Amino acid sequence: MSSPTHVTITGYPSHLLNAAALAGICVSLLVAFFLQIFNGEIPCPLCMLQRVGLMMVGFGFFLNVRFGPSAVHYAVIILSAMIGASVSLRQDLLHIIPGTGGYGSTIFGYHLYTWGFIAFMAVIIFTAIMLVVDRNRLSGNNIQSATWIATALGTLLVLLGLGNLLSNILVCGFSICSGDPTGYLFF
Amino acid sequence: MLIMPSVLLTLFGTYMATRGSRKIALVCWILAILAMLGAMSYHMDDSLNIDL
Repeated sequence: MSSPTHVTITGYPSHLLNAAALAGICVSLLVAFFLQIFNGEIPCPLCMLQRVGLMMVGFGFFLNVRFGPSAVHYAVIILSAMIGASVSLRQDLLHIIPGTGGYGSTIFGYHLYTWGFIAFMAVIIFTAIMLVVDRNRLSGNNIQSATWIATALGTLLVLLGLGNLLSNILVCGFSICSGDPTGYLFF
Repeated sequence: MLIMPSVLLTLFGTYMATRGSRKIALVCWILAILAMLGAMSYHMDDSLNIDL
């Protein structure tokens, strides 16, 4: 016979869907780190703010994976995505005029900030759908103990957060970030 | 310096969520949002060269 936690997981498609969304957020952050480390692309302040927005969205998804779906958790996701999208849109507008160039390399023809805006919009649409899927189960207290998915993804998100913190210190130090960073401060 | 508090608070909130402290995690997120808004107001204040 299944344990109550197991019954909760199999009975709730939202657990896996939220875990998949959180994995997607982690992959987005990993791509940003990949480009930073292997392509030498130093993140600008707006890039860092978008990464924080992604972390906050991931945090909201993680709350759903760890504790079960809740209207509060979905509100966290939507508000975080809106703030992240506003930063992405701002950076899009900075480079929207032909001839002003872009910042960093492109993936499939779009810069990372454009992908960021698309991702934040997709998160908001996904969350709206999930609110319908979970409309009868929004107590936020369905999962009492951490599942292996929650532990694995939560650990990954914490590690990516630590990476962002380290990156922030290496690029900006303990002063205000330069608008157009050209290298790391300590090497 | 301005962005770091939001990173730190989100990181700490995520860590507290992994430990099972939902309330502390949510408080950290609220503080992180406020810190991020402060950083945004500084880094997003130059005028855009567009006419809306």
